[in-house]
Amino acid sequence: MMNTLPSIEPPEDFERNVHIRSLLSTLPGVTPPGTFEQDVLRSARRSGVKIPILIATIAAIGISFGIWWFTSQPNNVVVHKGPEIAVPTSVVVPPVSTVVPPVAAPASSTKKKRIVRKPHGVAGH
Amino acid sequence: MQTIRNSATDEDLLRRFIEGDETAFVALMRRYKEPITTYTFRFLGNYDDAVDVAQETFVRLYRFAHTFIGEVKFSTWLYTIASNLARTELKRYRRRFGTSLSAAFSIGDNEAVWDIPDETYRPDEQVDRTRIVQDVQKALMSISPTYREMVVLRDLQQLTYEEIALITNTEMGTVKSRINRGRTQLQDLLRPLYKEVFPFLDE
Repeated sequence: MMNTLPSIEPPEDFERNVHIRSLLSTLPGVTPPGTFEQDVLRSARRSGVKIPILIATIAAIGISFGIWWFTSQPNNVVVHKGPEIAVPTSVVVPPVSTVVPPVAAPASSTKKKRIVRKPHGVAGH
Repeated sequence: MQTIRNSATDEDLLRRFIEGDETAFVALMRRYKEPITTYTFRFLGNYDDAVDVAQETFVRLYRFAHTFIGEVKFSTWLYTIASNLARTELKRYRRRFGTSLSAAFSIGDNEAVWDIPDETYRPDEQVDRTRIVQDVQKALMSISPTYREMVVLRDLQQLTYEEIALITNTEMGTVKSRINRGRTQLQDLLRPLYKEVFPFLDE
């Protein structure tokens, strides 16, 4: 039976890549130091504690600054309640004389004159 | 207990950790501390900074484990955290050494070789013992960080193109082309090593 599948040509850079990859494969793996794990765990735990402290510090500074800023504004005038003047309750208030009841308007006695306009003459007639 | 930890999936361990079991976190850390440190070292080229970044990756995992929503694999998510931290670290290097960020992180796929000498790689006898390994790492540090990151994820960490696209937040086609360009740049830089490593080669 004839093989109908064509042969596959490798790319031109096939050998080059083999050489490069062979050379790169000579590079050994890098072993981290023995204290690697402890160092990671220590700084991970430390940073876990640091963040809430940092947030609390920033919040405290922010609040202090906010209070200072708000109270130092010249436009914000704080009005203190002054002493009240005591009003005597026994004093009788006189009726207000300026209050006048409404008065009906008087009927007009003069008749309105009807204005009759004469037709104007036309010049020349 | 140990067998349960070993057989549990990453996602199971993460769920247990979120529920308050800290030993699950330690199990996850034991599983990934070496791959993540290898990745950060091969990308940054400095052992101390690589360890710092790897540790910070796990500290972030500890603090933000509850934000994992399971859209991607746990390992992809962890590599994404490490990748972001490593890139930030590299930007700090660039600022320290006065190289422009636009040069360090070219958005376009330009062909320019990363020709600014990288001062960050200090061969560490503990990590890279042989000269060949040191030369390969040096070559890796000489290519653009954009390409290096993807080459390391693909050829050293053996991640898939899909995973790399997710980790680096890049289109799949761009990932492939960057890996290809990174390998081309590496080939030019590593050619002197070829005869030593592959004596059977003709050229």
